[in-house]
Amino acid sequence: MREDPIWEEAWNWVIRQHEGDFDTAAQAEFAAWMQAGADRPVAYEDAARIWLLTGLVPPANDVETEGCSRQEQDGA
Amino acid sequence: MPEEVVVPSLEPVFLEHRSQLLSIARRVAGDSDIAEEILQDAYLKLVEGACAQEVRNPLGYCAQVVRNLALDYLRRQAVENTYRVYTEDGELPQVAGGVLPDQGLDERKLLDAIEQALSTLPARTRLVFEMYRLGGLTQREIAAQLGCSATLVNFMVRDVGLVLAKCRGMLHPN
Repeated sequence: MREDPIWEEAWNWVIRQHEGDFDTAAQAEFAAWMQAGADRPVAYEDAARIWLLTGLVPPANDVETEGCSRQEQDGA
Repeated sequence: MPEEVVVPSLEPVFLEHRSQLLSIARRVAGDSDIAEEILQDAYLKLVEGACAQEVRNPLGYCAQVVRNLALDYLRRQAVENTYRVYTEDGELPQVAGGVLPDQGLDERKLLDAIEQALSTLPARTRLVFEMYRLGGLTQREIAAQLGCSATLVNFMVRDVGLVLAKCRGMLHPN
C-alpha cells in the first residue's frame, strides 16, 4: 500500500493541521519537513488542495455540518 | 434526444440564508472582511456548479462549502505564520508545476474524480471520513459513537489519502 511515502506524510500533515493542536513543536517539525526536499511542498500543496475539495463533496451519509445544526437551519 | 439532468440551482437557498452563512464564515475565520471574501468564493463555487448533482440538503451543503473554505483560509494562515517564524527567509517555497486555482484547471472534473475515489472506500471508512471531515467530530468522538478504537479511526482517515493519491495527476496536467 505504501506507494508514495511523501504523499502519505503530506496527507498526514494536513490532517494534523485540521486537528487544530498545531503547537510550536509541531510547527517547527512541519517547517523542517517541508524544507527537507523539493517534492515535499508540492506534495503538501496537492494534499491541502485535495483535502479542501473533499470538503466540497456532498456527503454520502447523513452527516450534519458542524456549526449548522437542523435547528439553526430552521431559523431557530 | 439525450436526457438532460436538471440540477436545481443552489442560488436561491444561498441568497435566502446569506446572513446565516456569513456568520458561519465569521465564526470560523474570525474576521468580517475575510468572511465576506469567503462567502463570495463559496457563492461562485456553488452557483457556477462545483457540484453537478442534486444535493439532499441544499442549505446544509452551502454551509458545508462555506465552512470548509473558511477552514482552508485558517490553514493557509497557519502555514504562512509557520514559515515566517521557522524558516530563514520566511518565504513559502515556490511550488513549481502545480496549477493555481484559476489557471484553467477544471475544478468540477477534479471534484468528480475525488468523489469517484471516495465512492470506492468501504462504507464504514467513508462514514468515518465524513463524520471527521464534514461533521467536525474528533477521532475520539467518532470511535465512541461507532464503538471502535480511536486508533482504527485514525488509520481509516489516513487511508483515505491512499485512494485520493490518484487524483494528484489532475493537478499536474503537464
